[in-house]
Order: sequence, then C-alpha cells, then structure tokens
Amino acid sequence: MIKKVSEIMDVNFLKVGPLDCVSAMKNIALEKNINYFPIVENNKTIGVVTYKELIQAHPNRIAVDAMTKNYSVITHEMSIWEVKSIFEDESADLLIVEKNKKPVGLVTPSLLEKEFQKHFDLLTGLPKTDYILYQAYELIKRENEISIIFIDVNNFGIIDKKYGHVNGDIVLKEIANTLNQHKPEKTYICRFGGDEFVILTPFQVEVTNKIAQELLDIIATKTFCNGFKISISAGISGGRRITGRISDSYSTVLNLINIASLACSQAKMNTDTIRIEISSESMDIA
Amino acid sequence: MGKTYSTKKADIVIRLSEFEMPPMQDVLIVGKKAPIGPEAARRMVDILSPEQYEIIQMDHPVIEAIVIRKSLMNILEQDKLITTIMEEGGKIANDQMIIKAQVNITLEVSKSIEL
Repeated sequence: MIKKVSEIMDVNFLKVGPLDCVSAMKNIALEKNINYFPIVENNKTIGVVTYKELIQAHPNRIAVDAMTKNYSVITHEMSIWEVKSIFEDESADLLIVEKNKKPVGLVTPSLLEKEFQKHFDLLTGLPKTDYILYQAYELIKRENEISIIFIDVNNFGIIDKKYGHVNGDIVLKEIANTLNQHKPEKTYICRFGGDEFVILTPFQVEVTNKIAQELLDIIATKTFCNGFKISISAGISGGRRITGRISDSYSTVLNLINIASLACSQAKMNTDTIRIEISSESMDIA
Repeated sequence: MGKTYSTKKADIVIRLSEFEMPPMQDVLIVGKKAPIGPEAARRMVDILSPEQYEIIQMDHPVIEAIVIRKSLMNILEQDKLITTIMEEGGKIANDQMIIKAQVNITLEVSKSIEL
C-alpha cells in the first residue's frame, strides 16, 4: 500500500490565533515540548510559527509577525511520494497537512527524509515497490499507458553459494546500477526483493519489449566483479490498454506485477537465458 | 529621646495634549527584531483608521517592512517614495528599532498658457 502523509506527519502542534503573543507561545513550547504553531484566522491557516521563529522573534511580537510564510498546505490523503515531489518542486520549509480545511499535522523535509530511508533499498539504493505503485497510480491518473517488466537474475543462488554473499551483494549492486543507468527516460525502477527488479514504463507492449530486450543484452554482455558473467530473465505485462477507465489502479498494478513475475518464471524455465514472455492477459478495464 | 516625624508626599504632574490620529503619522520603518512587527502596527492603525495603511516588505539586512499611509502613494510613485524614505531611514535604523516618520509631499506646478 502507498503510504499516506497522515501516517508520518508530526501531530505535535498547537493552533494559535494571529494576535497570540510570542512569549506565551515560547512558554508553551518549552513546557509542552511543542514545535509548531499553525496560525488560524477565520477558519483558514494563514501561517505557521516554528521553534526557529520563536527563538528569533522578539517576545513582544504577535504570532502573525513571527510566522514563516515559506510553507504550503496539503491534504491528509496525499501520498508521501507526492509530498516528496512538492518539497523538490517548491522551496517550502514545511507543509501543513489539512483535513476538512483544518490543520491536522505538519511535515518537514527532515521528517520526510527519515521516512524515506525506509522506502529505499540500502544495498542497491533503488526505491522499493511502493515507489512503482505510486508512479503507476500517477500514470493511470493521467490516462497514460502502463506496462511492467519483471526482472529476475538467473542462477543467482549459485553466486551466493559458490562465491559467498558478499560477492553476491556486489553483483546485485552492479546489476541495479546497470539497469538504473540504462533504463530509458520516463521509466521507473525498483528492487522488488532478493534478486528481482521491476521496471514500470508508460509505453505499449512493443516498446516495452524492446526496452527489456536491450536491458537483457546489456547485462549479458557486461562483465561483473570477479569476472562474473550474468544473465537475467524478464516477464512483461500490461501495455495493451486502448481506452477505458481503470476502476482500481492499486490492484491493477499489483495484478500486472504478478502477471509479469509469472511470465518471468516461464522465461526462466526455458533454456534460453534471454527470453521474454509477454502475458496474454489484459488489464482490468472498467 | 525626642519624637521622630516622617512624611510621605507625591507630586503629580499632568500633561494634556490632543490624541494624534492616527498615532503613527505617515510612515513606520520596522526593524527585523523590533518588539512590534509590521502586521501588529497595521492592525493597530486599521482599528483606528481603517484601510489607510499598507505594509511593504523590504529586502534589507535590518529593516523588515515599511508601514505607509496609502494616500502618499497617490501623490508619488511607490518605488520613488520607498527609495527616498529608505535612503534616509535606512542610515539610522537598526534591527531592533521602529522609526516613525512624517512625510510631507508638496507638489509645485507652474504652467504658462497662451493668451
């Protein structure tokens, strides 16, 4: 499931009015360990005073004269990936999370960064599966095509058993880097788990097939650490949508990943190391 | 032993003058760490003289904003007026100060017409 901002936001705040005094807020901040004071006037959030502003501002000042204006307001249903792109696109220092137009929490870049450490794979540096789910959701929302390439390293267990897990990890890291470097623009990659990777594309199956073939060729011709030669198998699903509205994008994408993983298993069973099975199943279109 | 006497007295001085309306004259130059911020000043005069003053945020090392009587900007362009005020006010202001300024603008017009 894609994590919502409401699951990670800081709820340790206190709403104040525009004429509330900085010195009183400072006392509350110290006594109750509150770091944020959203300012609400006529049922609308007009600014926020953080601990930093409390330190800087003269104690006689009113809240509205101490607040930062460098903030944005978001809804509590926003995904953490959307929040990440807001921080990247805008120069906001913090985001106020609202539900029914009332502040219910706050998010800072450092809080988000802490959360995102959990969403990136430590070994390869690639994002985890929920990143692909979010990007697929965005593509579907914009009525784009989506297709999935499920990639599995052939005989990876042998590397671990024969050369040790340290060498296995190095190889996995190199494969991840290679796939990430050579995947085309507008495509997204994640480490699905173990020696499996998923690539999401906004293209139809023919283009996705070509991309997968190129990536398989690149991996097959590359020499990895200790002179290892590696091959990978891939399964493809999706990329056949012509018209129609997708009723449940989350289960649609999970279903596509599942179909692609089964197609990949079929490819692995084949004697060819480079083989792509294209699922004949179509997407669930409402 | 003689008796001791002590007295206490208070002198009261009262100065009466007419209340200035509004109390902040034409311009306030507000320092970044001043005890009263520009919004507080604007809200204060808004109660006494509604919608007569405007806050202009400044990109200045020590001055946060200027609260200015709107009618002045009907006579002179905002940029010219602010530049002139800042040329003088900026020299004496520090980040803790609030400077009150009276600004009188006199327009002199001389025209010749053909008879």
